Amino acid sequence: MFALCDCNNFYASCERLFRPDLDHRPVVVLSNNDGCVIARSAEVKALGVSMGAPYFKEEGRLRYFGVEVFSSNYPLYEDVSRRVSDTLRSLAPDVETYSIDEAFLRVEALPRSAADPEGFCRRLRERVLRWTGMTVSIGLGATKTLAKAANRIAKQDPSREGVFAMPDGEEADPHLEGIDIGDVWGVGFRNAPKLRRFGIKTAEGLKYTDEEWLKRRFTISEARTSRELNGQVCYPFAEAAKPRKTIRVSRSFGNPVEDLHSLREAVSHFAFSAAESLRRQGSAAGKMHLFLMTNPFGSGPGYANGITARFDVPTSSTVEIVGRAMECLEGTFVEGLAYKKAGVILTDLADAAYLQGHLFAGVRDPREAKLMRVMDRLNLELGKGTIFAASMGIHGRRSWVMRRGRVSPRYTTCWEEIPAVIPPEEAP
Amino acid sequence: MADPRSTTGFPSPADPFRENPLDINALLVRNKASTFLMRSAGRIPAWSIEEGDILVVDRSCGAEEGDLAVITRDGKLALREVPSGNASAWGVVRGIVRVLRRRE
Repeated sequence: MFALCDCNNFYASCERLFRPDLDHRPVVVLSNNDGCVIARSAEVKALGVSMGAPYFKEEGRLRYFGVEVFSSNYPLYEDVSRRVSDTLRSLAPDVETYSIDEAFLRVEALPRSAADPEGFCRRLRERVLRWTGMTVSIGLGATKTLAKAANRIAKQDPSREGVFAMPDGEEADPHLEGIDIGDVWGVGFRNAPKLRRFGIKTAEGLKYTDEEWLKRRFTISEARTSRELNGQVCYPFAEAAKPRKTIRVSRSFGNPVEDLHSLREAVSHFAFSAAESLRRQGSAAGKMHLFLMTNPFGSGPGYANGITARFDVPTSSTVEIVGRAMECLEGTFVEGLAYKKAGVILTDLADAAYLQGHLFAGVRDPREAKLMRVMDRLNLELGKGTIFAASMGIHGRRSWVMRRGRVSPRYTTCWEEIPAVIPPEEAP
Repeated sequence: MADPRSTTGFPSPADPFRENPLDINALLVRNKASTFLMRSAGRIPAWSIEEGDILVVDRSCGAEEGDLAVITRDGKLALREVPSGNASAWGVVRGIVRVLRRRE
């Protein structure tokens, strides 16, 4: 049996953790560059502000209702997410972290939970709230797709108090009937309207659709989802995350960027950060793609271009990756344009240990790998930016930096920003 | 590097008596997932806390009488000695950390 544990309004709840004054007050969190609403507290959902709504459109209404607005604070969310995962692991040995705010658990692995999985999930829920301050909803089901559907019910029906177990067989049907096809896990937003046209409007509808027909009309993935709704596992438990196949670091700029110098700084940052991610998962990149674009909705001339470069030997070296990114930038940059976005994408990833140990032993300077290890450790232990590429620049003012006007302190990852606590009141 | 304590010549006579070195983290942090660090905004003589001290706050253990707890007061996080009868608290202060500096 699978359980899906999902944090309610995760980013908004993180913003409240050290701010009790925000309890029961409306809170929204904005995307990078404060572009649109990406998280809403329950109060904001009730106001009818939709997910993904552009901030500039909603700004007036949010102010009118006294909504607290935050820029996204990923260091904080990441830390709280890790705490939630660790808390789950304290009771359940098999935890698959699915996204920043969701985790699948294997429930049958526990003898204690086998008799009363719902009771077990209630204990989990209480512990996560007490240890981390996060409220979670937990759905139980025979497959991941059913657990996900159960989670929806746990979250939306207050009488369930945050936990719902999807019954087996036909007993599940009345519950699955209430779930719109577009809300079924694994059904893409593109295929939902198409399924609806064939009269498949709910999870229950998909459950009783012929598998062969689905394979013919749609893809294997829809057929699998139907099978999962019937209680047959197609998506097994996967504890360890697979290494990513591409690593992409791209950002829209806070303000349009025109000069090559600023672009060099920005692209160096992206390449530096991509190389770090690459080493974190133990990979080396065979190719790099760099792209630049102007604002497609802007008034100026439109331009979008990219260059792909191949490394002779797959590399995870920051020196090489940043260096190559600079060469690619020279090749794509056109003077006199206002750039809105740039990015670095690393592809053809391979296992670095294998490459260094076998095929290309001796080709690469072994001191370079050591240098990278030392650099990563210093940046981890002494804080980001302890060692960086000179091309990243050292000015205080950077027009390309993301707009994050309303970001909260890094309460848990920066000594200077940990929360203050007021001493006890003097006895009267 | 391999374990520096593994010897290439004679086996160490201390080997069977090997113990882990003391770890400040293990002393102060019983539960990593539920422990948060905060800074005291003032002096609390009864607990030998100075302004600016770092407080190690654990959410996983319930507050008991006589504990120094973090609570919510006027919408802010504040400290309070737990009176008789367990109070619900944000967390319980388990330790203090201070980097020593000479008073100027």
